[in-house]
Amino acid sequence: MNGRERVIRYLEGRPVDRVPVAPVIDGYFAPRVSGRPSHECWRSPELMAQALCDCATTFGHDIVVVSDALGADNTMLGCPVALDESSHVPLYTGHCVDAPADLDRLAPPPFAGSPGEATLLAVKARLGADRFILGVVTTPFETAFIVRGHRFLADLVQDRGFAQETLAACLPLAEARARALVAAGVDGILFKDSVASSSMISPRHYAEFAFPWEKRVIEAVRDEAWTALHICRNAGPIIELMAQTGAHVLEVDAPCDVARALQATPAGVFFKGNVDAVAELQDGAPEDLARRVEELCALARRTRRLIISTGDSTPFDTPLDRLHLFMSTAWRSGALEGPGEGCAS
Amino acid sequence: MSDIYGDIYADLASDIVRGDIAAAVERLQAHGVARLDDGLFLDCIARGMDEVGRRYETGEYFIPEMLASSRVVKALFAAYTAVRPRPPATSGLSAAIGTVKGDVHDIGKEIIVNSLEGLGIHVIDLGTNVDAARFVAAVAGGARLLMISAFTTVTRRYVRVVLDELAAAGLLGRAQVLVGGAAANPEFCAAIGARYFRDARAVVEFVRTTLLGQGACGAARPPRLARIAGRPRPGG
Repeated sequence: MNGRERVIRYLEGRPVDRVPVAPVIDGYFAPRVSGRPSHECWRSPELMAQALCDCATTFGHDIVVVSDALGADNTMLGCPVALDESSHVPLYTGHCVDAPADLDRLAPPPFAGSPGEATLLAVKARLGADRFILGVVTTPFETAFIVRGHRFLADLVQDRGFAQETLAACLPLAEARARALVAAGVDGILFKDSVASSSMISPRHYAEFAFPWEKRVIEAVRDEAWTALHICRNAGPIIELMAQTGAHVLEVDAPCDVARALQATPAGVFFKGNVDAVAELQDGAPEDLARRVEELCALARRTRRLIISTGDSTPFDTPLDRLHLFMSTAWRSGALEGPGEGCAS
Repeated sequence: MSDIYGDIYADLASDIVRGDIAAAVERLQAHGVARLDDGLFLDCIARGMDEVGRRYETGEYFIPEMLASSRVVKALFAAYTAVRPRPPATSGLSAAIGTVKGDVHDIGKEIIVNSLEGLGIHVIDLGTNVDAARFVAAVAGGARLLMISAFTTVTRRYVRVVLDELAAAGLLGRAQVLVGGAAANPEFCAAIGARYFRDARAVVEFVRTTLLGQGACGAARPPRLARIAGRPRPGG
């Protein structure tokens, strides 16, 4: 059973040999393994694809998250980005929405022929047969934050109408991107949001400003691809709403109590997480990391609704032996025999 | 204060708490900046920020509310200084703040800049993705409070670079260095000789109660600032 089969069968509630294991290894960490400077990988679809594939070969994770190379472009979503020799990721250095009139200029960037498409197709050609390929879409809420900066968060209090207008203008960007990824043949789409958690905004603001737009973009493609929703940091207070977006998988960060989240959501909702990528994977003691992975595996064996993962992207400085420990522990502890109590079938 | 000026100060404090920037500026202009008692004005900003901080600590407020309130403070102070000189009692403290090279997170920085300016402190906003030379230049130029933010563990390394550059320039002891951001922690800050702050709220509180309360940079604090600090002055 290869990784792709394992993940799909698990999500379908069918028997698998072990719990899927997929720490978030994306363009932030991948250049560590390929040995090429990060900025070179972000500039080149071929190098980024190589870095992601090298990681998949080295660590053996079941799901490959495909980060887009940027190519020669120095903008993303219409905002300027910085990417130089010292960069580990492209950095937004400005915002492009100052006033309502600026919203008219937001348009979905073409995916066909883009460096992002080239990266995805290269990874898919090499790994698509035996790994679950996950494309990434930024949610309308995070997109609004990117194009307007911290002013968008103040808008939630001081200019609610403009905040909703901004979100409405960002929805087509996310929808277009999601549909393009489906057309390109991804197995799943990760809708990511770095700012909508209860570490940043209130559950009331999440319900009013983030949830409705997440639900719409996920519903647009959920019948055509597996969908996952990632929200950074503490998603505990909003977990039931997240489940109502229709996402097949909720990727939760370390502050979220996964056991409680599993109890609070219907049996058809899966989770992915949630080892702390910094405190436990990168900086923690090896024995503590192993114990944490074992605990998650026990939960996964019992419920069959949890994919073992980090809660967020693996940091660039993570020692390689920590990732090997993560994987070997999960493989050993995640072996399955017989149905679990939460099996969707 | 309400005997002379009505409830202008209480109302402004309420505007800050609600994050209502339009109401606050309109109220200030209707009242007339020239009629303000600058001590009471600064005091109402402090009281508003106190309440916002309390609500943040209790989980009633989140980042958007903090940002909104800090923007009200900034707008009020801008309207004030457009008409009157910066309150002399606080102009002695010059601060600089920036997010280190490789990092563009700026929410906490924005809250700090707005809030400290509302306390009458001159804040040099170095922006994001700031290299060490610019931090050093800020201290060489007179900043006595240097606030450095780093959000990722990779960019956290650069905080040490900034402190090394300050030492190389012979400026390490000239400014108090505060470090925050998601990647910072007490152990890291202790190792590099900086003071750790877990969030923007904690920085603003520290500046108000410790630096202003004890007299910024050794300057004696006038009675007016006792109200800003919200605590009795040590020894009297």
